[in-house]
Amino acid sequence: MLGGVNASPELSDILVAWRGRMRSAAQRAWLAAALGVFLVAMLSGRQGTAATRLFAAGLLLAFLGCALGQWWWRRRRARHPLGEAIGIVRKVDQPLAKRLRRAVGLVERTHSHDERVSRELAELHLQRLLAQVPVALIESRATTQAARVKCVATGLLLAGLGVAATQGASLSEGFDVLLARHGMAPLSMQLLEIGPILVQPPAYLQAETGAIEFEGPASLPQGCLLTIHGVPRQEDRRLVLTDGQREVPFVHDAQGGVTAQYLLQQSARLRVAARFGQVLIPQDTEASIEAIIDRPPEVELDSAPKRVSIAEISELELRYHVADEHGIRQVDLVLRSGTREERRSLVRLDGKVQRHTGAHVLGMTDSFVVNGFGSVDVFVAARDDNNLSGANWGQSAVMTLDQPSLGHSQVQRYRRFDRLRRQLVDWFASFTAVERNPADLQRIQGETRVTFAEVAAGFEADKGAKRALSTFLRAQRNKLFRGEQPREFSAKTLSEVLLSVDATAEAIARRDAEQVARRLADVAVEIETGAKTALSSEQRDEGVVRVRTAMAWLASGAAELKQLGTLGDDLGEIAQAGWGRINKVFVARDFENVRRAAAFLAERLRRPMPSFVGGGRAGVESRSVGRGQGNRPRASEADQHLERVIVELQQLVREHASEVASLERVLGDAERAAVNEDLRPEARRHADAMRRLVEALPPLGAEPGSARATLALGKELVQGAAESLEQLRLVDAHAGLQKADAALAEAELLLGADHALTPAMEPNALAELRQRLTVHRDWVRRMLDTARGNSLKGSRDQLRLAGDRERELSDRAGRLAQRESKGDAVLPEDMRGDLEQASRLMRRASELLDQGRGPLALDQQRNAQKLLEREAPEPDPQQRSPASDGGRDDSNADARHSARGGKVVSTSDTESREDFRRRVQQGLSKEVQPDLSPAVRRYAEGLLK
Amino acid sequence: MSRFRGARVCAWFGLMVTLSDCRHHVEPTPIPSEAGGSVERLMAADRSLVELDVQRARDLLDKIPLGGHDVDRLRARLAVMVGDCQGAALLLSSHAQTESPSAASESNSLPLVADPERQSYPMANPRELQSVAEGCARAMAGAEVDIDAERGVWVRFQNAHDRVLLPLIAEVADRAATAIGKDLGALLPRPLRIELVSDLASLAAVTGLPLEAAETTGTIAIARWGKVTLVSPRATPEGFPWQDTLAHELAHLIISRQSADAAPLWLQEGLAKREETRWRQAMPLDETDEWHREAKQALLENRAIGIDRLGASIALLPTPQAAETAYAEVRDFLDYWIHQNGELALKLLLRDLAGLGAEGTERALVSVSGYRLDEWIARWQGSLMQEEQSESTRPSKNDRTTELVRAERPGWDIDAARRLRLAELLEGQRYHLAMAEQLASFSQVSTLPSELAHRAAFAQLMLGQLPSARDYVQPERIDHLDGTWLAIRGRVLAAMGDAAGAETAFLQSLAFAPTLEKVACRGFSAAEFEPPTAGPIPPGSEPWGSLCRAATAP
Repeated sequence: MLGGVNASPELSDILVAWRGRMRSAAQRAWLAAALGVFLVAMLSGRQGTAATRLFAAGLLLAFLGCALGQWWWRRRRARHPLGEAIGIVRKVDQPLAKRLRRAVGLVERTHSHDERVSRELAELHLQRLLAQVPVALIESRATTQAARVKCVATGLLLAGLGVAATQGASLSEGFDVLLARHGMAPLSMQLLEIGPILVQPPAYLQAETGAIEFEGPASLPQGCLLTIHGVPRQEDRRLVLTDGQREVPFVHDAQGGVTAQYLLQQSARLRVAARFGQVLIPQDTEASIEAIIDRPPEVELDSAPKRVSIAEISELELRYHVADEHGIRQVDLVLRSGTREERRSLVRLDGKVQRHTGAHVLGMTDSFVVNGFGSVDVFVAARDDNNLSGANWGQSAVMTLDQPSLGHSQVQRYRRFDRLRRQLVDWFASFTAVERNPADLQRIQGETRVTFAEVAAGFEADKGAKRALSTFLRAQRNKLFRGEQPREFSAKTLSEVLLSVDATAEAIARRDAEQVARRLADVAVEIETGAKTALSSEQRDEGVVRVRTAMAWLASGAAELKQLGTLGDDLGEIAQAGWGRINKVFVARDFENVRRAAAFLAERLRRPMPSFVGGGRAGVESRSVGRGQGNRPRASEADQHLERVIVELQQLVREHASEVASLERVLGDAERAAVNEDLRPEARRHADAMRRLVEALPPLGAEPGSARATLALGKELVQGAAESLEQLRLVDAHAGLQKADAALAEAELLLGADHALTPAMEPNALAELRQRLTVHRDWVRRMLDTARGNSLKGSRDQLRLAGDRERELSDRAGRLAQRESKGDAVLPEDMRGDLEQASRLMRRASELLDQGRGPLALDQQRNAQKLLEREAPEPDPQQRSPASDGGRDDSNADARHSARGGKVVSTSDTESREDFRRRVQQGLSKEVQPDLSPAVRRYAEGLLK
Repeated sequence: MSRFRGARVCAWFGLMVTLSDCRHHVEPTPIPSEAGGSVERLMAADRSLVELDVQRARDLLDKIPLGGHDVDRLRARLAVMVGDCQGAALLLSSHAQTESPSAASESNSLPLVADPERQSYPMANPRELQSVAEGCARAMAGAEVDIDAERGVWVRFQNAHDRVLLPLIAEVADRAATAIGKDLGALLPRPLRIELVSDLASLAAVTGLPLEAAETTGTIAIARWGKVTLVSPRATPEGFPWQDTLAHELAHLIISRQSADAAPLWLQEGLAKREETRWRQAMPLDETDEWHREAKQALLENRAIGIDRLGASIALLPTPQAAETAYAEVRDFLDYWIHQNGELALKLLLRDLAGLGAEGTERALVSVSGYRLDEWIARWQGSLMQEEQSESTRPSKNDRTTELVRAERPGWDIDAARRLRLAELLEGQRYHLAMAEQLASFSQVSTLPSELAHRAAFAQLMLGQLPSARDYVQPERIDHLDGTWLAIRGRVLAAMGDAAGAETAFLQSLAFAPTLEKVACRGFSAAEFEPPTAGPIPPGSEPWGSLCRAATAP
C-alpha cells in the first residue's frame, strides 16, 4: 500500500541510521538478561524445594517467552518500516513525527477512494516529509543510546559472569537439581574423597575391626557397623550416606573431614550424596555390600516330631543337639498347651560354644503337664548371641504329649482294684456256697492269684500309687496264699481280706476323687479366665478358644470323675451339671454368665466334699422318719489301719535315725576329746607314706565310670584321709581309707574290662597297693579303738540314756510287729519278720549301750536302721508338694538318710536316680562360668550315660 | 390365773368375730393413691414383699418415679425373690461402688420410715442381699427353669438331670401349699418358686446361710427370699424325705405371709414342723411321738435348748443333735399350746402378730392365750415333769420308741456293718443266695436298720422266698423309713397280689429317693433289665418311665 514510500531511500536511511547503531547494544542487553535469568534460576532452583524449583523453571520459561515475543515483534515491524521510522523520528522530533503520521494517514485515505486528494500527491507529501527527517540527529541519538545500553548491559554481563565464575559448582548443582526426577538428580558429581570403610563386626562375632575399600562389592556379616571417612569437595554441602532407603548424615570429624556410621542390617548399595532440599545429588561411585544373615541355631530333638501318650510313660527323655555358626548363648525347653506357654532354661552358655548336646527328663507329674489342658507340645529352643533384631531363636521339631482325660489314670487304678475286689467277691460267694464246686473254687483261686499279681504290677507302673498299697496288697495276698498255693483259711479271713480290699479301694477312690476334683477346679478357673478374656472385644476369639478347649477337658474329666467311687460319682455329677450350665450360656455367647458359672464350679470343686454332709443325716429342716440315716459303722477299717501303720513305721524310722545320729555324735565327740597329741608325729609319718603310695595313680578328669576315674577317686580319698590323719581326725581318716579301699576294689574289677586304657596299672600292683593301705588303716583303727576306750569311760551316762531310748524304740517295733500278726494285718509277713529282727537288733544295741560298748551298739543300731528303712513305705507321692515334681522336695529329705551324712543314690532306685538327675539338670540350667562349663558338661554327660 | 380370765374371754370373743370373716388369705394393704408420696409406696412395696405378693410389689415399685438406694434395694430384693439374681447383683453392685460403708451400715440399722405411728419394716441388710444375689447368680448361671403353669409352680434346676423331678415337685408343692394354706388361713400367691440345688454349697450360696452352719446342722432346705431352696434328693446317697421338707419350707412361707414375718422362731419352726406331714396321707412310722419323748428327755437330762433360746435360726445351732432337740422342743411345745388353746387360737395369734409386729409377740400371746411366753414354757415343762413322774410308776406304753430315741442306730454293730457291706458287694454281682446267707442272722432281730432290711428282703425276693421277703418289709421291723425299703416293700406286696398296697408303697418311696434306681424302677435293680428301657415300667406310666430311665442312665 505504501510500497513506494517504503522503498524510498529516505526511509531506509532513517532505519539504517537507528538500527545500525543500536543492534550491537541490543544484543549485549539480551545476553546480559539471559545470563541474569540463568543465574537466578540456577541458584534458586538449587534450594531443592518444590517452590524454588518451580520458580526457577518459571523464570527460565518466562525469559524464553520474552525472547520469542521480541523476535516475533521485530519480524512484524519489519513488514511496516514506516511505522518504525516514525517511532525513531519521534525520539528526536515529535512535531515532525506527528506530521509524518498525518501524512501516512492521508496516503491511507487515498487508498480508500477518497477523491479529494490524489494518491500520488499524498505519497509525495509523505516523501517530502521523510526527506525532512534529520538523519544525522537520529544517528547521533542512536549512538548515544546504544552507548548507554551497552554500558549497562556490559556491566550486568560482567557481574553475571563474575557470579558464574565464583558459583560455578552451585550453578551446576542447581542445574542438576532442576533436572532431578523422583528426588534424585540425573547427573552424579564428585562430592567426597572417600577413604577405606572401617568395619566393626557385631559383638556376637567377637571379631576384630577391619577395613574395606568403598568401591567394589563386599560381603559382611549382618550387624556390622560401617564407618566411612572422607574429605568433602565442597564445603557447606549436606552430605549423606544412603542405601536408597535410609540416609545417614555425614558429620565433621574435627580433622577437616566428615564421617558417617552405617549399621548393616541387610544387603545394600551405599552411595554418598548431597542433599538439596528434596533432591539428592549422588556421587558417581557406590559400595555394593552383601549382608551375611545370621541364621538361628539349628536344634534337633531326637525322635521328634512324635506323638506320645502321657498315660503310657512316666517321663519323657529329651535329647537335643544344638549347632550355631557363631556360638550358642541359651537353650530352653518350651512347653506349650493351647494358649499357654512356659519356657524353662536348660542351659546358659558363654556364647562361644558352637555345638551343644544335652538331655532333659520331663516327668509326667510336671506341673505344666499335669495342669495342661489338652495336648502339650514340647520342643527345645536355642538362641545365639545375636540380639540385633531381638533374640535369634531356633527351635526343634515338636514332641506332642497327648493327654488322656483328667482322672484317667486314677480311674484305671480304681478299676484295677475293683477287678480284684470282684474277684474276691466271686471267691467269697463260691467259698461260702452251701454246695461248693471244687473245680470252680480252684479256678477262682487261680484267677484271684493272677489278679493280685496284675494289680501289683499295675501299681509298680503307676507312679501315682502309694508304695504302701503294694505293701498292703502283699499282706492281703499272703493271708490267702503261701507262694503259689492257697492257704487254709476260714470264710472270716476271706471276708476280712475282701472288706479290707474294698475299704482300701474306696479310700483310694475317695482320695483320687478329691484330687481329680481339685484339678477340674483348675479347669473351671481356665474357663473363667477364658470367659473374662472373651468379654474383652479385642481378645474375644482367643477367649472363646480357651473356653472351648477347657470345656472339652472339663467334660471328659467329669465323666472320669464319676467313676471314682461314691464321692467321685457325687462330685462328677456336680461337675457334669456345672458343665451343662456353662455350656448353655456359652452357646448363647453370654460370657459374663460363663464366668460366673465357671467360678462357682471352681469354688465347689476346690472343696471336694460330698454334696451333703451334716452329722451323718439329712434334713434337720425335714421330718426324720424314725431314727437312722447315717452313723453306720464301717465294715472295715483297713484303709485307716494302713495309714496308721505307715505313720507309725515312718515315725519309728525317723526317731531311730535320730538315735543313730545322736550316738554317732556322742562317740565322735568322745573320740575327739580323747585323741592324744603325742600321736601327731607318728600320724604325720603314716600320712606321708599313704600319699607316696597313691602318687602314681591317675588324677581326676577321666571318663566317669571308667577304671581310671575310679582309681582317681581312690587317690583323692587316700589323700583326704592323709589330711585328716595329720589333723588327728581319726574317725574321718578311717572312714576315708575304708572308702578308698572300696573304690580301689571297684577299680580292680574294672581294670579287667578296660585294661587297655590304663596300661600303667596292673591288677597285681593294685592289690599290693590295697594291702599296703590296709596296714595304715589298721594302725588308724588301733589308735581309734584306744581313743574310744579312753573316751567312753567319761560317756557312760550318756550311753545308758541312749540305751534306754533304744529299748523303748525296740519295744515299739516289737509291739507293731505283734499287732501286725493278727487277722487284720496290713503288713506282709516278710516285713513283719524284718520288723521283729530290727526290734531284736535294737534290743541288743540297748544292752551294749548299757555295757558302755558304744561302737558295737552303733553297728547294731545301723543294722536295725537298715531293716527299718527297707520296710518303711514311702510317703504317698500324691501328698507331696507340687515342688517335688521338680525334684526340690527338700522337706522330705527325711532323717533316715541324714543319719549317715547324705544319701547315696542307689542304682536300683529308679525314682531316686531320676530325682538326682533332675536336680543336676536344674543345676546345669543356671548361669555357669565359661571356664567351669566343660568340666560340668563332661560330668553331666557322664551322668546321663 | 384368774386375773387373765377376762382377757381370755375377750380374746375368744375376738377370735370368733375374726374367724367368721376369715377368707383364707391375707388382706393386701391398700395401694396408696396417686397423690400418695413415694415413701408410702415404698412402704407398701416393702410390706408386699414381706407378704410375698411380688406382683403387687412390682406394681408399686413401677409407680415410684425416682430411683435411689432404697428403691433399688427393694427392686433387688424383688429380683432375688423372682429368681433374677443376676439383675439383683447388677443393681446392687452399682450402689456398692458409690455407697460409703457408713451409709451402708446406717441403712442396715434404721427403719425405712421413722414414723412411730406407722408400721415400718427394716430393709434387708444390703450387703447380705448383695452377697445372696451374687451367690445365687453364680450358682444358678445357666440353670434350667421349668414352670408347671397349671399348678402354678416355678422350679429352677441347678442340675439339669433333676428336671425329671418336675412333675413330682410341682404336685407336692401344689398339694402341700394348698393344704397348709387352708390349715393356717393364708394361701401363697402363685407361682410357688422353688430352687432345686445340687448340694449344700449351692444352698448356702443361694440363700446366704453360712456353709459351715449348713454342714454342721445338716440343713437341707431354706425358705427365704420368698422361695424355697431345696437340696436335690440326689445329693444324699439314700435320699431324704424331700416332700416333707418341701412342705415344711412352704409352711414357713405361709407363716411369714400370715404373720407379716413377725412370728417368733419357736412359732415358725414349731408350726412348720407340725404342718410338714399334715398335708398328706399317713405313712408308716408317722405315729411315733418321738419329738415329745426327745423334748422330755432333753429336759430331764438338762440338755434342752430352750424355746426362747433358739438364736437366729435352728440351722445355726452348733450340732445336729442340738438342732434335733430344738425341733422336738418347739414341736412339742406348740402341740401343748394348741392342745391348751385350740386350733383357732393359733390362727388368731398369727393374725395378731401381723398387726403387732415382731416386737409384739408377748402382747399377742397374752391377748390370745392369757399368758406370756415364759409362763407357757413353765407350764409346758411342768406338764412334761408331771408326765415323767406318772410314767415312772407304770410301764411305758411305747418301749420301742424310747429305745429308738435313746439308742444310736439300734441293730448296728460292726458285724452288721460287715454283713451289710458283704451283702452289697454280693448283690452287685448277683450272688443272691450268698447275700441271703450273710443276712440270715438278722431274721430274728426285731428292729433292723432299714438298709439291712431292704437288702435282706431283696435277696429273699430274688430267691423266690416271698414270705421271708414280706417279713423284712413290715414297718415294725425297721428303725426308719427309707425310699429303697419302701420300693422293695411295694415290689413284695405286688408279688403277693396286694396291688393297692404296692402302689401306695411305690408312691411313698418317691417321697425319699426318686433318683435311686430301685425306687425309680419300682423295686427293680438295673441289673435285672437292660437300661435305658424302663424295664419293669409299662409304657405310659409316667412319671415312672422317665424316673427309671433317668436313674439307670449311664
